[in-house]
Amino acid sequence: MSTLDALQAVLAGEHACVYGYGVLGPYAAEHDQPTVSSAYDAHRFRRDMITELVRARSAEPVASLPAYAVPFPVDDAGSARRLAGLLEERLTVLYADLVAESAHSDLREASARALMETAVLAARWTGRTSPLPGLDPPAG
Amino acid sequence: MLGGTALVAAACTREPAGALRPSATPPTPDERLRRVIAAAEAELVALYAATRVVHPQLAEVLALVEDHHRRHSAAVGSSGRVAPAVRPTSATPDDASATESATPTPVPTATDPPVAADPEAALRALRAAEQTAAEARLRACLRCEDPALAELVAAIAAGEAANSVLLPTAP
Repeated sequence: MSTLDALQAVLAGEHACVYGYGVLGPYAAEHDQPTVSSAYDAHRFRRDMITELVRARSAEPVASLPAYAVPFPVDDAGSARRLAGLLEERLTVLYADLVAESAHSDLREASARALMETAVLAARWTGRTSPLPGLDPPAG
Repeated sequence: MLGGTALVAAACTREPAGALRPSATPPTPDERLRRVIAAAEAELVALYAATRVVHPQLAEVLALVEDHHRRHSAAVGSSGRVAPAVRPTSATPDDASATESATPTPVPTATDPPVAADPEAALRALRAAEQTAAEARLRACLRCEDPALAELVAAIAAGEAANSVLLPTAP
């Protein structure tokens, strides 16, 4: 994997995440709305940032798909939380890969901080964490 | 921030004397980072162990996070510098059900880190320690030469940031 491959993988993941939050947002509980809203903004911000980083490498950024398969029906506050947790946990893996592919310290810092932020959100949504988010699956 | 600096400073002064012998091969920057992180993780293990002694009602949740730090220390290659487990990690499955009663009651010693008597204050201190540790790991990650080590250290930082939000706010 190259830095560009890792960036594109993260970008595809952020596209899916932005879509996913759009799906789950309307079902999220009232008290979860502030977190949904800030997470949605954070994912859109990082999506745009990664898009620019791909362009800066003279490559075509991967586009978002018109729709993404949601692994289970989202129709209430509980399933909304579950999807949010799944989205964040998947992203931690992609950002961990990007850290390993980031020789440049600015990119490494951005990807390590994104890994941290997604791990925190995953923990908030799922109520659990693994010792090494992005490297091994959470227990239980 | 201050706590992190103090932790690293403490870790550095506890470098074994052998490492400073002129004949010894100087450690690479990555090896030094590994040692500093392993020592800092051992300090966190000790802080959780001491907190469990003072607040046994929190023992279950604290033991879980304490184990994360033990894993961190082992993952960076601690070369035997991990604080000894209070609960035997090599317990056989038969012991699992008896863990509660079989766990030796840790006895506080003069070298234990200080723990607040108020459970909420003790938890607040642990959350602060996790946040300080996460930021310190993030900075260390930027100095790693080996990309695999950078990834590992970033994952440790993420795990500690997540711990800080998962620790309960009230007992």
